[in-house]
Amino acid sequence: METRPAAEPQGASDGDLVRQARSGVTRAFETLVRRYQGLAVARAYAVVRDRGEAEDVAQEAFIRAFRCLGQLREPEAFVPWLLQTVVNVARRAATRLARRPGPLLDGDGGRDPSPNMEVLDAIGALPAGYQQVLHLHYAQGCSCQEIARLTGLQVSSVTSRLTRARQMLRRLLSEDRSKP
Amino acid sequence: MNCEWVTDHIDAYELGLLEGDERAGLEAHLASCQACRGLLETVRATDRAARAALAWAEPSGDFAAGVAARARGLIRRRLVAWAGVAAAAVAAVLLAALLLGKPRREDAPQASAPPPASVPAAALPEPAAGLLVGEARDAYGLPARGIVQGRSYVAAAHAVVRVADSSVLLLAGGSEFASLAPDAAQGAAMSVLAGTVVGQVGSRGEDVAIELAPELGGAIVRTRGCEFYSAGFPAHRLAARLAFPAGSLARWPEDIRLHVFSGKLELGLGAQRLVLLPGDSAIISGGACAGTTRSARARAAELRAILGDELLARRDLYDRLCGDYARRLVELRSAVGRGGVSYHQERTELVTWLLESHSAALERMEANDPELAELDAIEAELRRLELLDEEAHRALEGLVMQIASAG
Repeated sequence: METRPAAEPQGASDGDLVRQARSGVTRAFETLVRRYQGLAVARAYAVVRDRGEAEDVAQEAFIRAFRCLGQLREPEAFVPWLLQTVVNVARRAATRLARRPGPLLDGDGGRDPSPNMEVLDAIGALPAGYQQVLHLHYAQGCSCQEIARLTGLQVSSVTSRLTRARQMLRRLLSEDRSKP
Repeated sequence: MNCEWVTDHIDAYELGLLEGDERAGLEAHLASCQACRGLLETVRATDRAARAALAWAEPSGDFAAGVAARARGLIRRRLVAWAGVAAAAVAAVLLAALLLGKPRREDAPQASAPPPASVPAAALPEPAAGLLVGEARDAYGLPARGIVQGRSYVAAAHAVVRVADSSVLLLAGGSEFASLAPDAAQGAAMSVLAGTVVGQVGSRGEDVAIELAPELGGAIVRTRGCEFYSAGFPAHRLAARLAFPAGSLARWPEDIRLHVFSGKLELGLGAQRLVLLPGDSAIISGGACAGTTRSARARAAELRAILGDELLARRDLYDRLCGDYARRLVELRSAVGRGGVSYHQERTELVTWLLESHSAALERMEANDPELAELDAIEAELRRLELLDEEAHRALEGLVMQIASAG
């Protein structure tokens, strides 16, 4: 039930979208989902190693997040909170998958082209705030100014966070590749 | 410009954040340095890999629509559940409403539900979104809005909605709510159509409503005919943490600072019963209160009478002397530390002895008259309460100014 004229969701900040979604404006929540669905699936995939399962986990995590939006003290901190929810749901799913009869899943079972697992793992190992800016930069093609507007951060914070995230990602990948 | 500088700035370069001389310098270095060209290639390869991995993770177009559909289903189920609960359980008449935010224009109170007689309808200013809207029967003539039955409202910020004589719902900002058709036997009921119920003040015990007023940096606490301002109370924390167990504030995680402008408030704090009269302030910490302004003043006067002026004067003198000796000692020790002469050493020993003997005398005095310690505690509390009185009055003036300017 949408009762208040809302700002155009596509360009609204995460915090504004969370506030609108709390009032039941599902279109605002849908925008949040579109914005971060890839990141949620990537994070879930890093745990469950199955593409279909990762999408189920991401969907479940979004629904849990919607249910509990009222408990989110800082609406701007939606993404770290969402990613923690994704990991929690994914861990339970991984436990369930491990109990399944048959061979353990490895990779994604050939249903989709194999992703670059080491890159997804490395992204998943970064702090949530870094994952968020990397995702907005790489997957959404946002500039630093746009990321700042969406996240509510200062542009200077975004540039330093993005720079640092890229450096950490390279370091993690080079460490990964240097392992025997 | 060397390799180290290039390593530090290669990401800024790739992000298009380098300009002018820096950009030109970096490009000149790249042209002459094979190692840095290798680094640039690594940076670009990582970019490509990260972009590809995240693009792969992006689900198909109907993923978000599917999640949104499930979310809408949740809202519908919540609405049905709330309507049922509200109709069955919430009793009595819908009292003068507390509403934060502006009702939609088409939902504004109409002739069938006139505002209370104390505030003429024409005099009601149209409040700005998020502005605190006062209670109808407020002694200060604050503007008011009645909640019209069957209409829906959106709380622009946290809101407290009184649904019955002693039942109050705290709604998170953005929650949509409406009054339902009254049950013949039980009176009006409330339904939260969408949004979050932060807490509920119980239907037994104290009749207390907490109205969150983030724009004031605090909360207005109301009960019948009374208004209290809890200054400096972070309203969002109030909303986030508390569910207000009926009749008890004992587990409240923060100091609750109350000031009563009019009327009388009675609060039960476990075995302690707190009565605040107009002009009183109180600070409740961990569910207990050292006293209201009035009771603290009365107890302090009582203790002073018990102890007597002579004892208090002597204690004040000793207290002051101890303070003086302590300050002097610090100065002397500092002089000795800087290589002072033996004169300083001797003075230091003398002042140390004086300080110790006066301190011992003070301790004996306080051991013999434990009321002295109680008086100290009460007077410290009184100082906090007097500061709170001032804050509350400043806050009320601000509130009135805000409402006047909105009108």
